Parts: sequence; C-alpha cells; structure tokens
Amino acid sequence: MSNVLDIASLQGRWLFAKERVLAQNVANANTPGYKTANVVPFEAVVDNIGLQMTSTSPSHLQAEVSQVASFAQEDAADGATFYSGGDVNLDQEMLKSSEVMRDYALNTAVVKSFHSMISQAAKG
Amino acid sequence: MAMDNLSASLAIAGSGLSAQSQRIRVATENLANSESTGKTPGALPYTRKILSFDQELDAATGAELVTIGDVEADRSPYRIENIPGHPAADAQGNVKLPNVNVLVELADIREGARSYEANLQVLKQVRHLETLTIDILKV
Repeated sequence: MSNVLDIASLQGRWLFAKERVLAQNVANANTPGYKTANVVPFEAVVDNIGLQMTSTSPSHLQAEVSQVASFAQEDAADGATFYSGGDVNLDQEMLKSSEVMRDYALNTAVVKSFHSMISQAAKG
Repeated sequence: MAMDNLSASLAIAGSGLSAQSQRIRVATENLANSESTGKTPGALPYTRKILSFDQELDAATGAELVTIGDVEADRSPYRIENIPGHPAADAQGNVKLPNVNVLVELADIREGARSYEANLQVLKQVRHLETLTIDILKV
C-alpha cells in the first residue's frame, strides 16, 4: 500500500519540478539565446529508483511500470527562433503545463482515495 | 523540496511579468515620442530606446529569473523631412524626426502583452497546484 503513496509523492515532486522548468521557459521566452529546458521523463525517474510493481497472483493484471507514466518528452524544435528571442514555443509550454495540471489532479485524487481506504481499514 | 519548486515557479513567473511590463513601458515611450523633435535648429529629436532581456540566477531559490538588461539607444538613422519654418529646421529646412516606426512599436507591445498573459497563466496554474495539494488534507 505504501508503495502507491511513495510513487504518488515521487510523481508529485517530479510534476512540481516540471512546472518550475515550464515557468522558466515561459519567462525566458524573449531572452536572446535562451535554450528551452526539459525535465527527465518520469519513466526514467521510476526506473532509477527501482520501484517495481509485482504480481502476487496469476489473476493480477500484468504490471508494467513504463505504463504508469508515459509522458512524451517533446524536444525543442531545432532552428526555430523567434524575433529577438530564444527557441521557446509558448503554445507547447502552455500545453505541457495543462498536462502537469491534469496529472497532478489525478495524482491527488489517487492519494485521497488510498488515504480513505487506509482510514477505513484502521477504523475496522 | 517540493514546495520549493512551486515557490521558485512563482518567482520566475513574477520576474517574467515585471520584465514584460517594462518592455511594454519602453515601447509605449517610443510610441508616445514618435514625433518629438528638437526645439533649436539642427537639434537631435527623441531617440528610440531598445531594451534586451537577460537571464539571472536567483541565489535564494536557484531559479533562472528573467531580467532587463540595459536600456540602450537605437543607433539607426533619424528620419529626415523637409519642413522649412520648423523650429528644429536647419539651414536647408530639413528636420530630423525620431527613428521610431509606429508599427514596430505596436507589434512589440502586442507581443509583450501576449508574453505577459503567458506568465499570468503560469501563476494561475501554480496556484491551482497548491490548491490541489491542500485539498489532499480535506478528505
């Protein structure tokens, strides 16, 4: 059970880091020579800490961690530069930002539901 | 750690807001003075101002803030019109007018407003993230 909360908090911190990078890109959209910054995909973060879901019964669904967070990481388009600015694509950053919003809403909803499950179990 | 990133986001978006508003201010100054000439014969008119954006590392949060570099004078040549009798006209009746292109300034203000809006949007979304975090407690 705690594994779910661990992953949730890890993803929460990752999403905050992503939001910060997005804020940086948007603020520096007009800075000459600024290069769009990106974060490491969450998939890679999860792989790094070796947190794996295991199936303890044959009836369990196949656990695939890579499907837990498949965040496509678009790389900045090469060579596209704005007038007097860096290579930041504002629309794309806004799109990514709303993605962060949606993911975090899902994240907190999962945490809440697990929290209520733990409370139910504790009450008996 | 986690909240750190969110407050850094707020600081970054805030720096973007102030940078863009200064940009709009400079463009507005250029626009307002697009016809300001000198008062004595041969005097120089208003010179267009240019500002540049710069990055600055904020030591407190480690965030890459955006700042305004020096506001400099545009070195492009002045417009010259022949208006004999103008206070600033030289011996040939030529008057130097500011090197301001109204359309360019308008476009710059428009782009500044768009970037300002984008930063505001980031502020809103960070606030939403914080609300979601607090909502975890409200079961």
